[in-house]
Amino acid sequence: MLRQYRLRDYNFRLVLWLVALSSLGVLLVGSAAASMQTKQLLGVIGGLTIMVILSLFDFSWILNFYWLIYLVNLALLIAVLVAGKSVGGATRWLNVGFRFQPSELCKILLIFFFAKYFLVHENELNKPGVVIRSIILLALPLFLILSQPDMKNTITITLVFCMLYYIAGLSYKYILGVMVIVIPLFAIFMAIIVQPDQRLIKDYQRTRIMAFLNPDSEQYTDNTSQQKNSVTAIGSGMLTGKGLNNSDVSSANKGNFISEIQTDFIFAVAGEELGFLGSAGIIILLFLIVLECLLMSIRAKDVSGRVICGGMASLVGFQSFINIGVATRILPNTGTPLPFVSYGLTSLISLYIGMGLVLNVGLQGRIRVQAPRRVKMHRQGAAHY
Amino acid sequence: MDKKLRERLKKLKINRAAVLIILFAVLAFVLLRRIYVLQIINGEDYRTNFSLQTTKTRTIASTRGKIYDRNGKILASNQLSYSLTLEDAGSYGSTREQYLNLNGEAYRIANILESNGDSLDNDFHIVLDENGNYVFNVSGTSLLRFKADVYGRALIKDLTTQESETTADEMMAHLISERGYGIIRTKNPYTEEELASVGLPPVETLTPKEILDITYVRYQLFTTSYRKYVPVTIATDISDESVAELSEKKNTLTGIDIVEDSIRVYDQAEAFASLIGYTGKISAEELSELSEINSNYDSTYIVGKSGIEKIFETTLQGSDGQETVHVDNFGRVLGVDEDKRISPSAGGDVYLTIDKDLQIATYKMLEQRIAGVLETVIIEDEYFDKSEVDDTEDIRIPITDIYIAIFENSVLDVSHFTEDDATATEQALQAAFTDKQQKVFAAIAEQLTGSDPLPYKELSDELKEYESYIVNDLLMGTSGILNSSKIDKTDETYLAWTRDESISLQQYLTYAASMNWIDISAFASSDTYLDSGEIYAELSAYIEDYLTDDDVFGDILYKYLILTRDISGNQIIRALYDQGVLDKNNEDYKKWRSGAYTSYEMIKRKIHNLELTPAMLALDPCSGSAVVTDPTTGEILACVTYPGYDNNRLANSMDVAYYNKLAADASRPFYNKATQQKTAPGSTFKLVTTTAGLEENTIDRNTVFSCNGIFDLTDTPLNCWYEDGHGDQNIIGGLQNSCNVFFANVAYTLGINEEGNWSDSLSLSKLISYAKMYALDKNSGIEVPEATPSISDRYAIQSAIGQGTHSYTTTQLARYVTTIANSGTIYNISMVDKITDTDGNILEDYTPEIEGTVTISDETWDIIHDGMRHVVMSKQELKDLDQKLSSAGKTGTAQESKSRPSHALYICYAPYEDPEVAIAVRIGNGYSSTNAELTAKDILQYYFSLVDQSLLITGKARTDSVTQRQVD
Repeated sequence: MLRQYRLRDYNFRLVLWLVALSSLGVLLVGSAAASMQTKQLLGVIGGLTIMVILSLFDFSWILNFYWLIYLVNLALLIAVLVAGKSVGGATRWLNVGFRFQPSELCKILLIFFFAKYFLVHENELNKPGVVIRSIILLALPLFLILSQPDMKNTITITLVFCMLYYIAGLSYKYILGVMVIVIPLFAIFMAIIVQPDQRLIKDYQRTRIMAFLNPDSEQYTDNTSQQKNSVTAIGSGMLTGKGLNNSDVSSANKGNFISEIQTDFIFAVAGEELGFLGSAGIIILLFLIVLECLLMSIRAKDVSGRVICGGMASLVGFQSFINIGVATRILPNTGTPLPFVSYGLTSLISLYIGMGLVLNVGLQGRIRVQAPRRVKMHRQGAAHY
Repeated sequence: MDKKLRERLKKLKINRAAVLIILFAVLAFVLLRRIYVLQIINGEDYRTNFSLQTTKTRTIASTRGKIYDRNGKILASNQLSYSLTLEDAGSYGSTREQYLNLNGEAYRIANILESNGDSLDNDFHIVLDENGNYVFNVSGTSLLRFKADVYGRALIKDLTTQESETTADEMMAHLISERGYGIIRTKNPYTEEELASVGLPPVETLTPKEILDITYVRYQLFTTSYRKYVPVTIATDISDESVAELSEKKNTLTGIDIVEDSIRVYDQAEAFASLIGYTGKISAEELSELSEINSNYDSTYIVGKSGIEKIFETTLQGSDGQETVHVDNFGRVLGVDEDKRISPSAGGDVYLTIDKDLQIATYKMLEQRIAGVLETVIIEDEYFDKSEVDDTEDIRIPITDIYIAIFENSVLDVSHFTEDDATATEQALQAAFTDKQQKVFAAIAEQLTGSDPLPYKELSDELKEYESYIVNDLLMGTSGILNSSKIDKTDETYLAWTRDESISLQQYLTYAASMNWIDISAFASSDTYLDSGEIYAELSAYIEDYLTDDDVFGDILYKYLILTRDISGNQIIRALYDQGVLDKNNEDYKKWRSGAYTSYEMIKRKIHNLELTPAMLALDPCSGSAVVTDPTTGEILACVTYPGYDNNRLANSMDVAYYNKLAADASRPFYNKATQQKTAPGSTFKLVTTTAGLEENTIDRNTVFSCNGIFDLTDTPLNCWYEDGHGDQNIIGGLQNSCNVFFANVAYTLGINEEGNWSDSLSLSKLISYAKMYALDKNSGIEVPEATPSISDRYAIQSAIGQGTHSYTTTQLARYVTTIANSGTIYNISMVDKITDTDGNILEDYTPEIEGTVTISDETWDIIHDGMRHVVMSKQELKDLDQKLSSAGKTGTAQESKSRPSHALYICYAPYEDPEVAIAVRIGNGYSSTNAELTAKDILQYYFSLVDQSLLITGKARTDSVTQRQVD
């Protein structure tokens, strides 16, 4: 389970980006909700520790337990439905001394599971049987999450699953086929949900979408005012921002004008208080993390390594895009945390667990492939002299 | 798979990650471009036009239903008012900063309200007493509930011992400190700059009142702390000036809001308060009761506390609506979301069968008659010994009793004597009082700690009264120091004190201390051991300490100051003018100042002008009641109890001082004399005896009994009220003369058993069964709470003339006379006519139920009616009435005490031929039934418009025809 690694294979750049982004997160959470700062800081420290420890375990060994991982995941999701805490009409929490949200961990566990599953079925990935079985295996936890209800994680997981399969090597033929089906379906879906009496999604979900589509309609102002306030806050930050922990009365953050600002709208605090420089910095850091993961995916020793890295990259990438897109109002309002920045211990720890495995994938590199190449180059060089 | 294909596949895989890199690079670019547009290109715009919005849900209070009289005249309505609400909407870096800001804001709000003559609501149960000390204004369970609320305990039983035993001072010290609301910090105090920045003066200059105000506001915010953004109401019914000033300063007073509200307004409150009741903030008990009926009730609701307001609470209470408003970052309302508005629905209106004008007139005429009786029994003598009189009709009130009553019933506010703006007269009274107090304390100290204390029986009457007060009221009463359950009632020393009066107070208390009859924890610190001598010393100190602040003891001192002429009548009258109890703007004042009237004449004039009312003095008589019904329907047209009170001052935000004054008032305004006070019916019961005799055939219309002034056929002889005797009379004459001997004979005939022997129980059982026939054993049916009647179950002869153990309310007698007037239909008399919605559509229509019928022969009815008719015709004072309106009636006198005047009763109905109204009147301790009869005469004259109203409602005591003489 533990192996001998070379220190220079450890991706310190990725660690640096993570530490930088998480630190910014702690500062922003502190400014948004001072009482939660300490908890967030402890979360980051704990997360980093878990990440470093996990990065030393051979991910391939861990993945041997992939069915166990899958079952634990299902068990947690069922536990939520049975014994979960209901907050605002949705049951997403388990109370285990602290508030634990299994759907956040689920995203990571599914990446691990499919990494191994695709490795096992590496050569049959494009067989209809495997495709269908994969979809069924996804559908089970997805259904549980959807029934919480948690639309945003359902969407995120679906997107990430597509990316996993794509990285694993799904045939472009399938992709084309799916697109031919999905795009018209999406069009029909949208056409249905704009009807007031639709039954496809819950009313509050429809209201959010409608509010986004009709930003100036009085009927949906409740839902857009949060986003409008967020945009005003971000815009008013200008180049350098109003400074963290400022005491400006007319501040979206200080005036409590955006609810859940420490989680779903943390980017509004960043925009308002750190300005363009700070918020662009966050976007760039997030992109760098995604980039590092994808680069490690390219160098991974096998399909499972590639899937883990690509999956984590997609997860961070999509979730960030959705979060910032909502905060800057280019997407409809869904409550997704901003990875490594938003307050939320389950999300933070889960992401670090994922990153731990990503780092181990990096440590195991494609040693057997790369070594001969270097030798070859050396030889070429020698020949040159 | 061949090598080439695998190579191509691998290439494709690498490309896949690269594709993703490109995808996420594009997404990152999209976001960067978006924030560039927002922050760099449009940033300036967003910064300068910074405007945020949020939504808030506001409750739209429903309107409480109104209460009308039978003719649609308004009795209870709602008036638009403004309330000030506050929510903790600010955001602060630290608790210290938060508390500083909130305290400063509370201080500024209180000042603004104060300067415009308004005040914060006073549902906080710590108040300042006259000496400026913090005291609780509730006790018992209410106090524990309040403590639980303050300490944030859900249940009373969650309070710690220390918390449940905390004093008002300790609680305030806690709340003021950093452990509470941080008003005054001892560690790390606020700097002057900090205080000035929020408008607070240096903390040491804050007055107790200001500290109390800040504490109150903070407490109100605290009560909803678990629900953020919920505004709390801190002042209701504020003036337009306050509204203007607060609105202007809204930007600096974070979180305040002026909301439209309504206050309950009662018209002609005094006459109606006992029927209508009042509203107030829901209590925990009411909430749990009402929310079982309707789940909408929550802790902010205003509900009916008594009377119709309480009985029809769920009908009158509408349901609140809700609206969503958009507000900006300064709390300004940008717009209302019309789609989400839930309109409030108003409560139903209640129509009473009461005739508003008749009720008011009856109240006033009753007061005039009671005052008339009072005025005529006041004598100029300074002393009158009640124990000397043979007959209670000879009891008189010496003028000094009036002066004493002025102090005892708090007509004068003695606490004002020590205020800075006390007048010369008030100061002189206070000086006399202080001097007296010192002398009395010295005398008491002499008895308590001196070397030569006197046995009780050797003391002066004055000292006896003081010592009795100390033992009975102070030690055994309020303080509970002398624990009567521990005392051995057969103990020699105890008997020497109580029975023989042969030992001194000092001896008794020293002995009590040695016997452990004394609970020392109330006056001595419990952690030190004291021997009985030390206990006694501590107790003596405690007694003097206690008496210094005790108002009741103060009243006793004033009494002796008056009796010893250290305080004169003139001084008292001057103080009454100084305090505005009497109005200087009339002729009397000038004449009195010029010496034209003596103080005795002046007092009588003021009583005559109703400036000093019977209720204020609370002497005999000071109360009365009258009930008017329609005998054809059983509806109540008027139900008056005197004295009334102003329920406007109890509704909305309760005037606690007023409530406490009413509760302590010796005239007992909260005690409904019409529905709660029970007395014997006196001779009004003779109609039941008549029925029994006629229906049992022991007498007929022509049976004659002779009255020689005494009935002595049984063991206990009975005197007729007319000592000379009425001679021979038949039943009509017996009723007309209200002859006791005649009805004693009737009862006697009822009690002759088959063997021809007299049986008290036989007679009694027949009387009881006929009383039950008239439903005198049942409540009358009136909707407000009524005392349970009791038919006499002892002494047949006495019972037959309405004495014995009979006991009925005025409403029960009203139902009785209603039944007689309509010849037998027993209604459950009712004061509720109908309930309508706001648009006047009838939701429910009430008609009085019929409880039963009195089935007796027409002949019996004829005799009863004829007898009652003769009563009226025989009365000299009813002659003028009878010329215009024929009526029938029966007087009654109920004697309860040898030292107080009898109660006066009268029941009647009119017109005799075809009754439209039935009336029952009772004047408690009103001497003669004639006085009740005169009140009923007034009511009939008013109802049938026989006399000009200005002659009936004069605003003066009516002394015409008043008598103290017993006539039945």
